[in-house]
Order: sequence, then structure tokens, then C-alpha cells
Amino acid sequence: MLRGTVRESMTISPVLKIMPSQAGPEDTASNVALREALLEALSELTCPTYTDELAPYLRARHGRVYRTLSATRIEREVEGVFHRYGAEDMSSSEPSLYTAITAEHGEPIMKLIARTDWPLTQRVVAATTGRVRHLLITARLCELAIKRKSHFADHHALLRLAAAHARGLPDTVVRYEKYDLEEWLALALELIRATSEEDEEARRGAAARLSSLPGFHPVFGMPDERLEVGGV
Amino acid sequence: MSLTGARGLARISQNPRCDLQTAMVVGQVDEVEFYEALTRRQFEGEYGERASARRRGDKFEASLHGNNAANLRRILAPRFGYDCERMYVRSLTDEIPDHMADAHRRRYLRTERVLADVAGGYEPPSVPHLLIEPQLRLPVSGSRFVYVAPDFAVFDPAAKCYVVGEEKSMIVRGGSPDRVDLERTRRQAGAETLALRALAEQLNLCARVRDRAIFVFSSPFDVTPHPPVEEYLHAEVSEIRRALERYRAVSEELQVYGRRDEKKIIAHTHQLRINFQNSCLSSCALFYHCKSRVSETVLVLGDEAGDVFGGATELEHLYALADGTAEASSAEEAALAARLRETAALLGVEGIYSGKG
Repeated sequence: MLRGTVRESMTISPVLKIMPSQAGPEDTASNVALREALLEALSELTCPTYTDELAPYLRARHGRVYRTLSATRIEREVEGVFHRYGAEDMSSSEPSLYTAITAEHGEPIMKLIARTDWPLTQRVVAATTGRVRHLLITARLCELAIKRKSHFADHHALLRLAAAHARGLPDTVVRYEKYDLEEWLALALELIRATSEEDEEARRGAAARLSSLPGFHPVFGMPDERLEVGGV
Repeated sequence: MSLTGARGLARISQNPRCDLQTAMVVGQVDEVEFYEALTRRQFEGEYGERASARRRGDKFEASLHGNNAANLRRILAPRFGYDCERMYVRSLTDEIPDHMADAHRRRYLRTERVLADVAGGYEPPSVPHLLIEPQLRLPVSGSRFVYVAPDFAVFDPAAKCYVVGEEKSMIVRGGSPDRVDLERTRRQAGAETLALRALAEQLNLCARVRDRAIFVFSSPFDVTPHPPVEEYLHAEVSEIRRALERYRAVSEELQVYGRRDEKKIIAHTHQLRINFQNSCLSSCALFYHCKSRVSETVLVLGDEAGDVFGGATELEHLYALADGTAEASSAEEAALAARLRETAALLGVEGIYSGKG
């Protein structure tokens, strides 16, 4: 996920295969298609992504078919993964969707979505990760808007998404309908180079510590009830 | 307007002697629906926030919280001596969205965990510099709570603890926002500060929590935030404590504990004490209902009349005193009656009290 540079080539994730024994009433054609699209989007964006970023991204990528897709719909889909798969099943199943987790206690961040086949170090959010993640996704959106125009059904929507993220870059003024993609990309990459190593080290340390905690699940993290102060 | 959480307690604190209003907060009623169920009439007054104000508020909040709370970090960092680009932000609503089961309690557990880490000696970046919508709660009775959520809480390195914060899109001009709006906001922040102290007490951090809050308002330019304002809230915290006592008392009286129960409150409405005053017109949907309950008393003439003549005085008795057809029962009444006759003479409206003027 959080590499020092943004990859130029896009990978297409493997299609989610639903094993007959795992298929349930939630596995309608549209739900399966949504999960596939989300997995693919995460591969393209290369880092955990918020549901209110994924929804407009899918609309830009695929157009009208996701015109009414909401962040809540995605969150419910991801929440369903926890109920659909047992803890044992998840470790051996095909790639799916679940959340990133906090570095302090392994708590799921329900709106921040990752691929379950990413290593734990890519799904942990340390103190520096919020900032680096924002820089990475800004850079990635700019890069896609510059180099993969034809890949998007609604390129203008992608531009607006990139601009919305660029507003969070330091000393950056984003003017209406003015897309300084190269400038934003360069600034984001420069800032990533300055901070990504510290962040990777923090995430590695957190992943190692969390993995040793009793009750910690490598995908689902630590349920809230286990962490009640004074409780188990 | 919402009657839940800190807003509900702020409402009670503005008129703590009105048990009917307190009952509406306890019963988590929708005010307009409650009015219509109680009076069997459609509510025809103006009520609630304008849609444009709500949109502005949502836009302001989004501008502060987006992109890892970039704008909020930028304005808070100088106040607390942080590098804004290195502030660790956690959003409790990103972690547990509203639509999830038991969201308030689960967010509270996580907030409690952060404070427990602080109690264990951790400081940022081992704990967040900035919490977005942390969940706190105020005990009501036994295991029952009122949940409150400040818009944010920022770690103060000098106090080694968090300070609650409120974001309001009201515009600051000449250094301060509108006084009425600010009063409501200060009371809300008072409730949140009290709740933070309640949590801190459990973790032996109480000495680090002071009666203060940070306010982020809007500048006159679009939704750009104004530099944060820090205010001390001793009076507001005290008023919220009083409001909480009334909440508990009415809750016990009605046996309604933090769940929506309009029917029970309607059944007890006429037994519940009201405290009708001028400010009810702008703050409560039941203004006209309560006005009808006091229509035969001096209160219907306004707060000042109530202060001068006594709120329980019936209008008919007052008129009778003034036109001499009733005997004063005390020296004070006699003096008032004389003043009323003098005033009528000055205005040339003698006989007005008997309807002959």
C-alpha cells in the first residue's frame, strides 16, 4: 500500500469468487458486482480508502451504474463480511473487503476500507498514516486523471475528486474548475518522500505488536467488547 | 430542533423550572409532533433551523473535517504549539458510523480507551492530538446515561488532557458572534465539559479537566474558519448540573428513562409544572399551549408584569384592584392598585380596567 512512490501501472484484482458453500442470500448479482468493483478500485488506488471517497470514485470509474451508490451502502456491504465469514474461513478465503484498523488497539475503522489480501502492515493506521494516506490518494487520483483518462466513464468527476483532495495539501489554493494536476501530484510525491519511511516503520511496529495480542484477528482486528476498560 | 444530548440539557438549563420542557427532553420527543399530539391541532408557527442554515452548517463541518481534518488542524495547531502536518487525528464517526448498532456505546468505549491511555501516561502521538466527535456521557440514574458528543476534542499539552470543542457556522464580526447563538453554544459546551469530567473522574484525571472549551466559528468569507476562541464556562457548567438534576427528577417522576415515550408524557402534561416566560416564544413549540394555560394570569402580559404583580395573580383580580371593585389584601396590593389608577389617569384611560374606558 504505502510505498515510497506511486506505481504507474494499474493492477486489476482477481475476480471475487464466491464458493458455493459460502454463498448466501446477500450474494445477489449486484452485490457481487459491487464487491468486485470495490476490490478493483482499491487495487487502483493502492491504499485503504474511505467509503465517501470510494462512492464518487466508482461513479467516475463506471458512470451511471453507480449513480446512486452511497457511502452507507458500501459500509453495510463491508459490515456484512464480518457476519458472512467465520474467523477461520476468512484466513483461507478469496480476497474480500474489510476495514483498516487502529495501531493502538486494533479497532476496526468501519469507513476506511482495505482489501483483506493486503498484509496487516498495509491495513494498520498509525499516527502518521492519516496524513500519508491523504497524500498517497491525492497523488494517485492526480496520476490516474493525467494518465488513464480513457479508463474513466466520467473523467470530470475524477478531476473534481482530485481537486477536493488537493485542498488538503499545504499551501495549496484550489480554484473552481482549475485542475493543476501536475503541480498537485509533484507536491504530494515530494511530501510522501519526506514522510513515508517514518510511517512504514510505525505501521510495521504496530502490526508486530497487535499480532501478539490475545484475541487479535489478522483481518477483523480486536472487537470493542474485548477492549472495555476494566474488562477482559 | 433536536432535544437529545447536549442540546436537550442546554434547553433545560435555560428554563430549569419548566418540568414540561424537561419531560420533552427526557422523553426524546419530536417537539412539533408532540405539540400536535397534545393539542390535536397542526403546528402553524415557525420552527427549527432553516434549511439554508443547516446546509451552511453541514458545509462548514465538512470543510473542517475533510482531508484528515486539514482546516481544523491548521487553525488549532498554533494555539497548542503543534506542527499541523504532524497532528494525529481520529474520527470516532469514521470508526463507528451512526447506522451501526449500538453506535453511541461503542464510540464511548473507544473514547474511554483513549482517555485510559492518557491516564497511563501516554501523550500524542501515542494518543491522538485531535479527536473528531468523541462520545461522552452523563450519568442520569443507575446505568442510564445521556450521551453527548462535542464536535472535537484537542489534546492540550499544558493540561495533559483533552479540551472539548464546538464548531458553529455562525459568522464572527467585530470579534464575536451573535450573543443569543453563543449562549446556546456555551451551554452545550458546558454539558460536554461536564461529561468529559465524568469520564476523567473514573480514570483519576479529573484535576486535568477545567471548565473551558474551544469554539471554532466561521469568518465572513464563505466557510473559512475564524481563529479559535477559548472560553471559560464555570456558569454554564453549573447551570448544566442543575439541568441534570431536573432531568433526573422528572425522569424518576414519570418513570421514563431515555427512550421515546410521548404517550406517557402527554398523559402527565397537566400535572407537570410549567414556567411560562417571554423567551419561550423563540425556543419552544409549546409556547401557545402554555400561554393558554396561563391566559388568565398576569404572566400572559410578559415577564416584567409577572415580576411586578406576581406570576400567579389573576388578571381579573388585578383589574378589580385597579378599578376599586376588589379590596387589597396587603399594603403592597394597595400600593399597586394606586399606581395602576395613577397610570390610567395619566394616560387618560380611566375606567379601562372595568372595560368602560
